[in-house]
Amino acid sequence: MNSMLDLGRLLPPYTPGTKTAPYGFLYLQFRPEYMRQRAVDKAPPLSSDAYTNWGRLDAARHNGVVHEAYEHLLQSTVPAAFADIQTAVAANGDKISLSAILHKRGVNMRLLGAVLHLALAGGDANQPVADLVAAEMVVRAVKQRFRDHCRHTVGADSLFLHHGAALLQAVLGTGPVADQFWLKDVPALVSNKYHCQLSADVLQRVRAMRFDNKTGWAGRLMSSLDLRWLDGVVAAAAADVQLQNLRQACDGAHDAAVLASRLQLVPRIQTVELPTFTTLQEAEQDLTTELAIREAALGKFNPQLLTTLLALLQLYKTWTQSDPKATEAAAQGIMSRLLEFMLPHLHPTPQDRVVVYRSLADYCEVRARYADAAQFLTKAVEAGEEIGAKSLALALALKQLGNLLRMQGKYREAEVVLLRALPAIKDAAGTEENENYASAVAHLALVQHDLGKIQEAEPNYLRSLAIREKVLGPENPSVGIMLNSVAAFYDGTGRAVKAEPYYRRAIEVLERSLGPDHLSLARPLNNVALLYVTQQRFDEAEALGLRSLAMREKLFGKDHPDVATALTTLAAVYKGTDRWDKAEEALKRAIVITEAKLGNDHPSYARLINNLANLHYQQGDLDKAEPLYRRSLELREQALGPNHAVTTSTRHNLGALLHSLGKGDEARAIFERCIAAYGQANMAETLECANSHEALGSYLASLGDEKAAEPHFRAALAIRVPRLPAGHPSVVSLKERLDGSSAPRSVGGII
Amino acid sequence: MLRGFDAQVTDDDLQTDWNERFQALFESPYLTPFDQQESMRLLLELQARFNRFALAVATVLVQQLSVDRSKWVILPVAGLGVMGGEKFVVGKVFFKFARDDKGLFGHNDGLAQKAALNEIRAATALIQCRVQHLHTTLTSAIRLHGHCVIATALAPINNSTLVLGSDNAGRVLHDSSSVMAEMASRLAAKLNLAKHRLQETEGTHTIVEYHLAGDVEGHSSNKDGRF
Repeated sequence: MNSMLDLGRLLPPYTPGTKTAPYGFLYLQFRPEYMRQRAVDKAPPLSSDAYTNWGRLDAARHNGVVHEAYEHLLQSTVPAAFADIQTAVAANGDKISLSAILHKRGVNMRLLGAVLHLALAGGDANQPVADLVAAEMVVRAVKQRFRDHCRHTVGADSLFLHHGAALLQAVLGTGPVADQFWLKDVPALVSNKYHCQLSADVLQRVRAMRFDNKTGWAGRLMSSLDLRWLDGVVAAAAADVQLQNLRQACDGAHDAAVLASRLQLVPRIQTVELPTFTTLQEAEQDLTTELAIREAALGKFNPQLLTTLLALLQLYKTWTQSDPKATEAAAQGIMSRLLEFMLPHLHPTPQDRVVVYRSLADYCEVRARYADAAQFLTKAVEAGEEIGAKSLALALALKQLGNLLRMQGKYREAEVVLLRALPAIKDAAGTEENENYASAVAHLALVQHDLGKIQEAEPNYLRSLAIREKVLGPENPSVGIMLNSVAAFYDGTGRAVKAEPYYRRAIEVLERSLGPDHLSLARPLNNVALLYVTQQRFDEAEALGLRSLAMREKLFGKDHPDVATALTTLAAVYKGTDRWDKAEEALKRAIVITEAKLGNDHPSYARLINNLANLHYQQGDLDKAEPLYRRSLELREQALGPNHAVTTSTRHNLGALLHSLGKGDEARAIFERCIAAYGQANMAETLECANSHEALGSYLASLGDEKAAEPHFRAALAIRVPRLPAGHPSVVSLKERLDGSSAPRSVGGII
Repeated sequence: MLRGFDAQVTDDDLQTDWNERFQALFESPYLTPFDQQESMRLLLELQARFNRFALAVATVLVQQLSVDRSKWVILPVAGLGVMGGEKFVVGKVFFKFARDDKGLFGHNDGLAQKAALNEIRAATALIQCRVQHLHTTLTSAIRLHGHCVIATALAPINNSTLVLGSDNAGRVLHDSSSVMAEMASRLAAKLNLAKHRLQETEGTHTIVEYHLAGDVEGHSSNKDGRF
C-alpha cells in the first residue's frame, strides 16, 4: 500500500506570513481548485516549499513564481469570482452561497476583503453584493470571537451558552451594549481577520438587514456559531416566525442567561470529501497517464506495469457494455501487449498468470468472444493447477470457466467444471459460507436449471441465497440480487405464484439498501413486469416496465443496450394488449440501439430480431418474419453453435413459420432437428423440447398420421407434468388431445 | 454531555481497523456501475460510522479538559511528540487537539485550527486527484466548544516504511521508491506543483528533488497485502 500522510503543506502558501504570524505558510495556502485550474491552464507550477526554510535552495525563483500566482489570483481570479457573485445575486438575490461561488474559482474566503473592495468600487449598483459580502465578513469574524471565548471557557454547557447568548444579544439585539459592539468590536474583528475597514454606512446597513426578510443573516449566524435555537433549527431558510422570536428574545432579554436557556450547542464535523464517480473518459486518461509515467520510470517490461494494464482492460470491459466500438482498438492493443510482450518477457508467477488470463477472458466474455475467453480460461486453470489443487486461484478460474461454458450452451461440461470448483473454493476458504462459494453454487443452479435438472437446481439456488443472507446479512444488496435469481427460477419453471414473493422481497431489499432509483432494481422490476405479462396483468406490467425503462435511461442515457432490454419488455406488454404499433415501435428502437452499440452480429441483436419476427408472425405478416428468423438463426449458429438451446429455440420458431407458409416438409425436418439438438445438449427433458415434440406431433396429426403423432404428444406431456402446475393450459390441452376430447390444433407456439 | 447528542462507543468501534477497511473499499475493483455505486455507499457508511465514533471520543476529550487530570478517562499517550498538546489513541484512531502550544501562530489556536483543517482539505485534494493506488488515511476534524480535535485512522506505517519526505524536519530526506516518486509526480501534475530541490540539514547534506513539500510523508508498506 502506498500512502501519503502529514499533508498539511501539500498546497503552496500564498504569502510568506507576517511578523505576528511568521508561520503563515502553514495556513495561508492556495486552494486546490485554484491549483487544479492552473494545471489545466498549463500555468507555471508552484513549489509547496516556497517561503519556507525547506525551499531555501532556489528560493528566489520559486518564491517569485508563487508571488506572481498570488498576484494573478488577486488581479484575475478574484474579479472573475466577483462577476460570478454579481450574476448569482442578479438571478437569486441573497439566496446564494458566497463560499461555494468563491471556492469554485479557488478563491479563499480570507480574501473577502478584496471582493468587497471590488463591490464598493462599483458604486450603488453593486450595493446588494457589497452588503452581502460585508455581512459574510461580520458573521465569520463574530464566529471566530465566539469560538475563542468558548475555548477559553472551562465548565458546564451553560457557560458556553452564556457566551453565545451574550454575543447574540450584542450582534442581533438593540440598546447601548449592542450599539457599542457594532461601533467598536465589529470593525476591529473584521479588520483583524480581513485587513479591511468597514465604513460606518456599510456597517449600519449590514446591521439593519440582520432580520430582514429578504437579506436576513441572523439564522445563518446562529448556525455558524454552532448554536441552535432550542425551539427548532434556525437556518438561513428558517421560517420568519423563528427569526422573529429570536429578534424578540435578543431585544427583550436583559439577562443573557434567559437567552442561553433557549439555545443548544451542536458539534460540527469536517471530513475528507470522497471522490465523485469518474467518467470512463477521465478514468482512461488517468490510467494512460499513469502507464506513460510508469513506463518512463520503470521501463516497458516492469511487472508493476501489469497492474495498470489490467486496470485499463477492466475499464474497457466496463466501457464496452455501453459502447464497444469506442474502445475496441485500445482494448485490443492492451491485449496484444499482454499476450505478445508482457507474458513472454516477464515470466510471471502462476498467480499473476491466473489473474492476467482471467482478466483477458473477462473482456472477451463481454465482447461475446466466447471461444477466445475459453482459451484464456483454460490457460488460467493450467496456471492455477501449478499453484495447487486446493488453491483459491484455481478454484476461481474454474468457477469462471464453468460460467463461460454455460454461456456457450455447454451445460454438461459447465456442470462438471463447477462441481470441481465448489470443493476447491471450500477447501481454500475453510468453509462453504463465503461469497465465492455462494456465487459458484448460483452458477451451478443456473446450469442445472438449463439442463432441466429442476429438482437439483432448486436447493442450490436456495443454498446460495442462504449463504449470502448469513454471510452478508438479509438486507445486503447481493441478497436482493440472489432473491431475483431465485424468483426468475420459479418464474421460468412455471411457478409464478411462488416467484412473485421472491421478486417482491428482492425489490424491497434493493430499495431499502440502495434507494429507489438504484440501477440494481431495474432487473427485478423488469422481471416482475415480464411475470405480469405472462399472468396478463398488463397494467401493473406496464407501470413496472416504464419505471425500469426510466431508471435505465436516467442512469445510462437513451441509447444504452440496457435501455433496449427494458424496451423489449415493454414491447411484450404492448403485444399482450394488442397495441401492435407500439410493440413494433419499441422493438425497433431496441434494435436500432443494439445495432448501433453492439453491432448487427451480436447475440442481443439476434435475440431482438427473433422477437420482431415473432411479432410479425403473430400479426400474420409471415413474409416479414421469415428473413428475420433466418438471420437470427444464422447469427445464433455463429455465436453459440448449431445445437445451443437458444439457437434451437429460433430454429423451432422458423419451423412453426414454415409450416404456416405451407412448407410442411421443411418444418418437419426442423422440428426433428430441434428434438435431436435438445437431446445432444442434454436438454431432452426441458419444456423447450416439449414444445418441439408438441409441434412435430401437431404437424403429423395435421397430415392425419395420429399414430406417428401420439408418441410426440406423450413425450411432451411426460416432460410438462412434473414441471408445470396440474392445471397449466399446455398440460390440459395435451391431455385433452390424447384423450381425444379436443380437436387437433394447428402447429404454433413460438418460443 | 452535549445536549442532543448521545452517541455510544461500541466494542466493534474499538476493534475496527478503520484504515484497513477504508483502503480495501478504495481498492475494490468495479466491473459495473452497480459495483461503483456499492463501493461508494460502503465508503460513505464507513465514514459516517468513523465520524460517530470520533465525535463520541472527542466529546469526552473536550469534557475532561474541565476536570482535574487525575480524573481523565482517556489518558494521553507518551512518546508521540508534544507539538499541538497531548496525543491520544482510542481503538485504532489517533486523536490530537489543534492548538498553538509552540507559539507558531502567535499563540493563536484559531490559526492552528486553520492549519489543521488544511490537512483535511489536502487529503480531499489528494483523493479527488485520483492517483491510482495512492492512498491517504481516513481523517476528520471535530469542532465543539471552540476546540478542534483531529481524528486520524491509524495506518500500518513506521520509520521503516517511510520512502519519501522527511519525518524529522528535514534532517533526513527520504527518496527510496521510484513508484512513490512517480505517484508524487502525478499528484503534483494535477495540482500544478513544482519540482524543487531540498537539502538535508544533517549528515551528508544530500540534495534531493521533490515534487511535494519536504514534510509530506510517503509510506510504502505491503503489510496489508496491497501495493
